Amino acid sequence: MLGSHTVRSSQQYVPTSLCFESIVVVTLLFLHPLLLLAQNQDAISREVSMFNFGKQGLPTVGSEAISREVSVFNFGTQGFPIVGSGAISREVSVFNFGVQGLPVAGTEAISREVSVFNKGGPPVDFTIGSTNILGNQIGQVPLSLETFEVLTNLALTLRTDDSHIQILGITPASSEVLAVTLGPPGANSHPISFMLNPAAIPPTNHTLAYLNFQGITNQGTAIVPLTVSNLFCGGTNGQIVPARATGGHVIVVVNNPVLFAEAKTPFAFTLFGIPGETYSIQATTNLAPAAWIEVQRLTESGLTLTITDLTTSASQQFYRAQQVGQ
Amino acid sequence: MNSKLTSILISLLAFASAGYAQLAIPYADGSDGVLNITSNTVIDLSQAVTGTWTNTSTAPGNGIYDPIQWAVVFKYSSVNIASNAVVTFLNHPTHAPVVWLVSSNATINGEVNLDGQPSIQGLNTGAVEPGPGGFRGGSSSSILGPSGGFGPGGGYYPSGNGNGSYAGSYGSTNVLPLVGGSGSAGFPNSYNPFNLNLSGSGGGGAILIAASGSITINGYCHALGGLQGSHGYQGSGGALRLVANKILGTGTLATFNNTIGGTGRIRLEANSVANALAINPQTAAVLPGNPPAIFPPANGPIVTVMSVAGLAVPSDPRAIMSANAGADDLTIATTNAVSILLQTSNFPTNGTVNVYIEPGYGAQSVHMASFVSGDSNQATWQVSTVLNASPGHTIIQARAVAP
Repeated sequence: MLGSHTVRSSQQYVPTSLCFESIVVVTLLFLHPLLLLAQNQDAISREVSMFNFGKQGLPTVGSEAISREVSVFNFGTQGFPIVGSGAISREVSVFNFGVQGLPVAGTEAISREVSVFNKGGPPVDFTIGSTNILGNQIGQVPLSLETFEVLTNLALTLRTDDSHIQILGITPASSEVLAVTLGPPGANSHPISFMLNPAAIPPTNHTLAYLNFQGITNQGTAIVPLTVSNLFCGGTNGQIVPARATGGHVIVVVNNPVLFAEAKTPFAFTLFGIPGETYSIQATTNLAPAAWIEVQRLTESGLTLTITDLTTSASQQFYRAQQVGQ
Repeated sequence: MNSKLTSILISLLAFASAGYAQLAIPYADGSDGVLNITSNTVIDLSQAVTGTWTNTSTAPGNGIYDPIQWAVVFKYSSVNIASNAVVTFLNHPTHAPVVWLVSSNATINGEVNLDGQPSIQGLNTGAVEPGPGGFRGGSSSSILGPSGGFGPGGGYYPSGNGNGSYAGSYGSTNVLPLVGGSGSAGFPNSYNPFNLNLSGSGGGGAILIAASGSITINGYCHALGGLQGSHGYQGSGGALRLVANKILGTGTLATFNNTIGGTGRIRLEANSVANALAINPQTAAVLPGNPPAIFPPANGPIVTVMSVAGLAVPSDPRAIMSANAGADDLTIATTNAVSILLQTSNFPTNGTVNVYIEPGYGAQSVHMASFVSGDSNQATWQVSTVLNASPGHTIIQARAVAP
């Protein structure tokens, strides 16, 4: 079979009904170099007859051929037989790394979730508590520590008013305190130094130690500040760890009461007075001139008395307490 | 809900199956024994023994938690879940997805439930649990405000869509890596027109069931986003990937329930799949690999959060947000911007690395990391931003996408 082409020669056609498979015969004349005569400049070769069978070498019948019809179904590269009228190929994933030539292995990665807790300030929080005492009493306030750092030492200078309280000492309250030293006092200042076991520091806010003191009675009532300066925190490698200090106070009641406003609605305040004393709670809307009106009269049973539900329609209201006897 | 594979596809797969018998499921050694469930059962994923998934199970029935692959892998000799029996999961602390490698057949006539937890009504609910492999729903607080859902497709309100999303947002159609849906946003009464305090809901979980024989679903296997409750938002659906010689049955596979939550993903790899299965969302089954890939190839792209504010991230982060101090992966103390370093492997340096910053309360923000150094084999990337300094918790997650 020649194939699917129709072949023509010399304008002669072979009836296709007779020639499903045929060839073309062509007669050619040409000069064969082996047959040239050497004696003459002009030479004429012997006639040579030649059939061109192409590659098939079949005899010629007519001048035209039409091939047999051939059916071709293209399975692409897979060559599967037809089952049904549709086909879905295997999925092929292609990952284009551009010029980098990495293997095909997806186009996306998602990391694990990581949680971070941010305290929002320096890694060490040191806090001095507050309290209230009568003038002749011994009291204490907590010294609190909150950190996630590994600390080996912590030092600070406590600043207060030595005319109203006398600093007595420090009492450790947590197992990480290896030693605590209260240094020689200066003018209203007291150096304090802690040696700590970093492995024993709890990650939560906790009481590191208590500051012990006693009220001094030859002075009047006072709100004695307890502030911190020169706070130093040392880490295991000797590095300085940033820290933040919050001070406190001691209310020493000797004679006059002290009022502290409370963050409550309706307005309220706490009266620090002498147990057993009766106090007149007075109010005025103006201080110039003042027109004090007693709103409550109360007897203090403990060291504090909280006065609540103080309402007014005025734009401002002032309060005071007067000791009126026992 | 009644989406079905076309008969053409079934026919082709049916033909293809003629040339296959059992699949060779890698490392399906049956060391967790038979899973035969006849009544409602909770599988506690936290009981899994930490190890390498290719090893045999040392605590049969409890599975192996592989921190490298982030998955709890069970190697059952067979699985049979009776009708009317429901299997649910208690999350692993890392919220890892579930892999069942079955050395014979798995039959689910009952129910396998990997749904996220629904929205909770109340104040300060905390994050809401997802299905295993999914991501948590946001908290609700009338003081601190709403929290976005967690995960790369976490929802957030009042800006954006409060519902979680998955398909179309992240992940791949071949469910490699195996990962679930994202959570929806918390919706406190200060924003909620119905004056309700509602948490978000968890994203649907993710499971791979690979059986050398057949997987028969006559019941219901689902990983739906947590429901919205009354007037809340819904987590997105998770992922179901089934690999077997034959997937049979007349039951239902679903990671989408035609409501407001985002659509999850379903992947079926088998030599034949029954056309009576109801599948939502619709998916095209494909012939299984030989052997099937259980996890992404070792040369696949990887992105890892390496450090935050100079602190190294644990190799197996748990992303815990707890009131207990020190429970988070990292604790820092700063109001300044911090540097977040990331590492990519097998990833082109002209790709995109996005870092998702999700505070415990507040809106999720997405930061594009800057390339620092390295090459496509391994590279370092960086983001600098302020982390929830109120104080509070922040979840950090990265997603790397090749161009």
